[in-house]
Amino acid sequence: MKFLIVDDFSTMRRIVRGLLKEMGHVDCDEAEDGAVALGKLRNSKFDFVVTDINMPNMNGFELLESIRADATLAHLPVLMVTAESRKEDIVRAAQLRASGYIVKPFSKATLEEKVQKIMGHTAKA
Amino acid sequence: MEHDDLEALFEATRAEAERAAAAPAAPVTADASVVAAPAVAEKQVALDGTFPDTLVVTGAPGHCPNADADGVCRDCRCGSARDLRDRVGRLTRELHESLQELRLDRTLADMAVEIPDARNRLKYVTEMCERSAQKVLDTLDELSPLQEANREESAALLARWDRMLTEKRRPDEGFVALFETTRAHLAATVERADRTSSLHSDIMMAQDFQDLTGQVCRKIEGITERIEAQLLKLLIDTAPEDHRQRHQEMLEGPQVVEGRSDAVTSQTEVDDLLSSLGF
Repeated sequence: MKFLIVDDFSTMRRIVRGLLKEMGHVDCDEAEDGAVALGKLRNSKFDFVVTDINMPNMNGFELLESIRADATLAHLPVLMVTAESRKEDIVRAAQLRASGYIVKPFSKATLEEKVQKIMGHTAKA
Repeated sequence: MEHDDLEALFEATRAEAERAAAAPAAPVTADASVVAAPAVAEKQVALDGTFPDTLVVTGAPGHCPNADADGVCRDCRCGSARDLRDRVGRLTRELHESLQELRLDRTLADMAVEIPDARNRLKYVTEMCERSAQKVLDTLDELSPLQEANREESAALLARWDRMLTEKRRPDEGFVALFETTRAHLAATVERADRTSSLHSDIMMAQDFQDLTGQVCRKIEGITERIEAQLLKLLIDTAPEDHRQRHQEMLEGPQVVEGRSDAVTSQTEVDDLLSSLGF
């Protein structure tokens, strides 16, 4: 299972990568914004996207919108990571059909629970 | 709003979005959570500093039947927009005249110089935080395989000693004591290694401060850049005509692209600009 971690802060990308590795997901790639992520998604196969929302060039919402609008990518599970528990961000993520969301700072248990829940839904679908 | 409420809101809104995506021709129902979006959009527009279309004044004085003799209507949106525009105009005029009176006040000039300094300091904080966080993560990367090897070797040794015990030999007492001590040590080492692994994970998670503080610093950098640009623009607007023409083209809003020669980008350039304006 291949993950794409999208965040403009390299530290956060490394943290998410480290946590996924501890969960047994060692096949991960990274992108520093939505535009770079979209390029990688279109050029190689990924199974899961974990993306920050607040990023330059193309933010997480725009990335999610592009993924859902692309027939070859629309099925991809996308977990959104928000810096604040703002109701409007969460509503927008849901309206754009995000697979789930996490509010920073989050624990390993939270990430693990979300990833497993989303993977469970994807397997059923 | 509690986390559980947000979770429920997310799930309900997502389910609605999924249904709408599955049947695009169907009309969207007025779900309470979905209707929050337009309000957000309006708020965003206001925060961006632009007016929504509904606030554009479309009529001349007297266009609206509710307008008074000055063409101001306080009973509908067009009147509100006109009133708002008048108030913004008056405020701008007052600010402009106040600044003209303050042209020789060093405070304003000092502030315009201090803001880039504050921005540079914040940038420095962001860079230092990131460097620090990366260093800790690099150290963890180096520590982890060492500790993992230690754990694996200890676990393997423990297994060998356990096998020896099951061979039912009759060793002397000294050997038994050594065996028990060594075995206890190995068991404790494995336990401690597991605990150290957990602590490593905690250290890694603690570095998320860099992401959060970094975002705050970036926001402040953006704010100070905008304030600086506005202050400089106001100074130029209140300067003598020849200075104004010379510097007007240098101000095209906050500069985010490095290497441009036609815009004020550095502390030195701001200093030169302010000096040329007499501050």
